[in-house]
Amino acid sequence: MTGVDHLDEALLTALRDGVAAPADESRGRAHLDACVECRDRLAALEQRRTTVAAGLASLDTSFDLESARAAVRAGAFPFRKRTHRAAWARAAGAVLFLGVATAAAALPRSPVRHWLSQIVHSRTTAVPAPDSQAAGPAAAAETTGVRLDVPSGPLHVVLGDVTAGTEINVRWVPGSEAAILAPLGSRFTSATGRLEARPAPGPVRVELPRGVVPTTLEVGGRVYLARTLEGLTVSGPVVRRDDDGVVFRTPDR
Amino acid sequence: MEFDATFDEIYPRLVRYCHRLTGDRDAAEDAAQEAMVRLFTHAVEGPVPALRAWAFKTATHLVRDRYRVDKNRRRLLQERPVAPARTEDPDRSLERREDEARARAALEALSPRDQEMLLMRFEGFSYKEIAGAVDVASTSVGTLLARAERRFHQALTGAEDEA
Ligand SMILES: [Zn+2]
Repeated sequence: MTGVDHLDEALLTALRDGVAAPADESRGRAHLDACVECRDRLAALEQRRTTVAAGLASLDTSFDLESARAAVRAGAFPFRKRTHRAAWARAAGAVLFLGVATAAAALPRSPVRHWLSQIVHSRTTAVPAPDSQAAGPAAAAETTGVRLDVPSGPLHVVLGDVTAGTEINVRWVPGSEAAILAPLGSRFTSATGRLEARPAPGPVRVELPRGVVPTTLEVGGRVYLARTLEGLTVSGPVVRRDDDGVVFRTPDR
Repeated sequence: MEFDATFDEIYPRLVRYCHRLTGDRDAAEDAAQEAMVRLFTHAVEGPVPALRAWAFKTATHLVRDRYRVDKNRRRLLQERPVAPARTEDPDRSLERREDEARARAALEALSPRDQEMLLMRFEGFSYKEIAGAVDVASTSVGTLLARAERRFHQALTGAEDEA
């Protein structure tokens, strides 16, 4: 083959991996049948794939999948009855981390995030939360909550007896489930269209389904936000606000 | 979505990918686990390959935003790990550690995007899935991937591959 364009590296790689588009595949195969040079290049690429795969594999290490499974389950379903206590205990550090991960994820610069990153990087339960005292660090990090399916409005979420200076992170969520997530020791009640909590000291997360109207959030007898067909009215003490929700902080006494 | 089956289908390769990407065990587990938590809490729907692509994309962004921006912090953590030192695996020979260091250096010679593309390809993702995860046009993926693979191979072996 002279005076002919040889196959380029991208096409040869795609042919090697069996992912070339059908037209490229037939054009490429026809060329390979006739061109020993490109066949040699293809063979070199086969060898390269093996070397690269081995190089990448040398970076690998083993992971404890059972701990990870427990941690992810705890993070994804923090309200589920804790029937897997024994499995969780093995992954205590990670479980505590993920118990607050969803609450902190939306707060990139929050104290929770900072505290969380300390836990993450120390991988220990001995790092106290900034405000935790007698309850101890482990209890402070653990969260609990209540979840309620609200196929249609109205929805009232009520927080009572809230400690001064409490951060309340309100998130709009898809689906039809509303939730309150708060530190261990909080008390919850729910009824049709109503979720109520008396949170223990520490950050509180409230999940409100985007599609449910009207929705109101009442904190300490005050309406913090109301969402109706007309739109959203925010009247509480806002710390931050974005498309995914609003963060409030209750006034210091 | 069945929790255990979905977890088993996705997480082992996801955490391996994150570890290859970061070179940091804790960062890899954090990113992979958080991506999995989001997969379940966001109730992402679809067949397993779509869920897997979603999880990889999410983890890639977490790694980008959180674990790769501040290389100084990472270096600090590696030099003075806060966690108790892990016991060195006795059969991890010197040779194996040298291989690892060489591969790490070769990978870090690539741009972050090229690292992500190469690693996702070697986890079996299609060009289209890679395009979606790393924000490049799917028509460019083949060319970019071939080049990333060549550069990685050159850095790894010192060989002068043809273009
Ligand atoms: Zn040729």
